[in-house]
Parts: sequence; structure tokens; C-alpha cells
Amino acid sequence: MKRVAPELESLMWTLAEEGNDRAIDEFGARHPELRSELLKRIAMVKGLRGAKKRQSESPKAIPRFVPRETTARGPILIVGGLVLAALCALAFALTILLTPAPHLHVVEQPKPAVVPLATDAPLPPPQAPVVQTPNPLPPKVEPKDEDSDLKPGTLKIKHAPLLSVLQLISETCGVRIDPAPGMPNPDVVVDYRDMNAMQMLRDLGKQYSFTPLDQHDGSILVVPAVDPNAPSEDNTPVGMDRVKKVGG
Amino acid sequence: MVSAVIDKARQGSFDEDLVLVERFLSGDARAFEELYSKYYEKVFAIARGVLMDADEASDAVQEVFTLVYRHLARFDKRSRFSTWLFRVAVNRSIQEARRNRYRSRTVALTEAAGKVAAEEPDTTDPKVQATLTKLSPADRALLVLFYWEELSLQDIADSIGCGVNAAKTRLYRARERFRTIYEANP
Repeated sequence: MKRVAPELESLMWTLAEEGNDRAIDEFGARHPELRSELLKRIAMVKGLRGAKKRQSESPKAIPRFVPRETTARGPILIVGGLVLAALCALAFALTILLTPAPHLHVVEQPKPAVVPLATDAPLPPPQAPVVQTPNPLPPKVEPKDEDSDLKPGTLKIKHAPLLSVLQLISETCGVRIDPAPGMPNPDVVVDYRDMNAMQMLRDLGKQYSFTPLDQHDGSILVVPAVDPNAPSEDNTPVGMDRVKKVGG
Repeated sequence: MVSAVIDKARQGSFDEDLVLVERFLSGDARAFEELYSKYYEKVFAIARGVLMDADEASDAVQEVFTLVYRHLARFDKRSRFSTWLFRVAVNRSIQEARRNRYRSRTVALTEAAGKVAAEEPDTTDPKVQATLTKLSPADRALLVLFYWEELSLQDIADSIGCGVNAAKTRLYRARERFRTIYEANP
């Protein structure tokens, strides 16, 4: 249906509501394209007004008015809320009262045996008793080695291109290695024993200036760059001073 | 007692219902019965138009008049009594319609159709009835006040608690929604 301007819409509704035949005819003459729209509105208004007939038939006799007993919801809600609040307060108080306070165990340190001193060295100050809380802090857990999930392997190669070595590390250690574009591909010599892929790659990276990044999805990305600000643990390749690797 | 009535009369918009209201507030119970008889059909028509069900409308009318009976002292007489009454009726009916919406949906259609057909022979355009049923209670209330009760925009505005311009806009939108549904129906 073509969109009708709001003023014309409003005018059509007014004409339909007033039912002035002359005005309707005039409108139809001025806007013949809207004549059918106007007739639809006239029919709708007639239908709407006609729907009231049904109402006038309905109340045959007016029933006697008897004020109903209204359920006073307000006071019930207020009382209910207060009771709920009181129960919450009671539960909180009971929780506080019944929870035992943490006991402090005072452990007497055994007094050191007094040994007569032959020298003039000053005596150590007496030790204060150690106060132990019932829940001492849990022992510090050593951070888990991120690479411990990776499977160790052994690899010994004499003179092979770096990219082929990466491929072999991948197959040996069961991880996917994705070398980034621009990786160098010199001939390398490796001899790794019981080392996982990350350890091997880190060691190779130190020598050939690349960085392995564990993607934690079973793959390692190898980028031909080295972070100069990376914490240097040991710049010497493993193979130089450790038993596990001989290579480079 | 008569001060409010005299004030209104001086303003030239005398509301004869105020006399009955004042009589009721002074303890004359028959005055309320007169108001009830006078406005029962109009309130019933509004409730029926909004709720689309005669039984629910009868029930709503009793609730409306009970509210008026209990809270007539709160009527501030700034508007006509009928406007205030219609406002209570519209609000209560819309509230009831929203509450009954879920219940109405669960009633089997055949059962409902059979009941209406048996009790009330319908001579009106079924397409209009079907369209009204699909409108929201608030839209139905506007159309009922305008087309059935033939209230002015000012009275409609007072009955639904908004300004005249807002009432005009809401009525226009309600009418357009009615037209859209009406024309979409085969």
C-alpha cells in the first residue's frame, strides 16, 4: 500500500468519524487515489461503533452492588517482609554466635640448654613464644612447569636444514610446529636427549635467533625474532654446558 | 459539604454527580447506589471492551465500584466524577486483562467459541471483534472510550492520566494498529 501523508491520514479518520457525506465526496473528488482508503476507514469506524451494540445487550439487569471484601495485600506484604527480615537477622546472629572463634595455640619453644660460656660473646636474646594459628597458610606451591605437558624426545642430527629439523622435532615430540614466514634455514647439528619440543626449540632459538611460542593447543608457533627485553636465564645454549644437548 | 459544588458551579462546569458524592461522604449510602445505577452500563461497556468477556467484565465492574466505594474520599474533585470513575475502570480493566491474558490463552478455543455462541448471539462484525481481541488492552481502552463512550480527547486524557496531545497520539496509534490488523485479516 502506498504510504499516505499523516495529515491526509488524520483527515480521512476525521471524515470517517464524522460521516459527513458532502465532505467525503469532496475529499474523494480531490484525492481520487485515496477514495478506497477513505471507504475502508469508514467501514472500520462503522464496525468499531457497531461493536458497542453487543455491550448494550449484555447487562439485562443491573446486579445489586455489594462492596466486596478486598484482601488487604499491603499489610500482609509488610508483615511478611518484617517476618522475613527478622528470620534473616536471627539466622545471622545464630551463625555468629555458634561459630567457634579461632583458637590460638601458644606453643612454647623448648628453651635452649644453657651452656656456660667460656667466652664473652653476648647471649642471644630470649625467643618469644611462637603463636600458631589453626589454619596456617598453605605451603607455597612451586609454579608448574608449563612445558611439563609436552612429550620428551631424543633427536640427534648431523647437518640438516633448520626447517627440516623443526619438522623432525614436531614428529618426534608429537606437537605441531608452525614456522612463521621469514625463518632462517641454515644447516644445524642437534643432539637432544629426553627434552621436550619447547626445550629443544628454545635452545635452537638462542642460536638461530627465533622464538618459540606455545599456543597451548598442541601447537608451537616459531617466529624469527628475539625479544631483547626477555629475561635472560642463561644465554649459553644448553648443549654447551649441559649433558642433554650437544649441537649447534 | 456544598462548598465544592458551589465552587464548581461558579466555574461554569457544574458536575451534578458531586452532589451525590458529597451525600455519600456524609453518610448517605443511597447516594452511592444512585451513582452505581447511573454509571453501571458505561463502566460495564469499558470493562467489556477492554476484557472482551462479559463475565470478566461483570466481575471487574464490581471491583471498580468497590474501589470507588472505599476510596471516594480520595476523589479530589478537580475533574468530573465520571472521568475519575472511568479512569479507575480503565486502569482496573487493563490490570485485569493483563492478569487474565495467560489464563485466556489456555482456554480451549472451541470451548470459548461454543460458550459465546450459546449465550450471546453476536450481530456485530466478527472481523472487528477478532481485531479488537488482537489489540493490547490499553489500545482497546482508548478505542472504547473514543468510539463507544464518545468521550472528548480531554476526557480521554483525564481517564487515562495523560495530556491531551499524548491522548491524541495514543489514539492515533491505537487506530492505526487496529487498521493494520483489520486489513491483514482475510
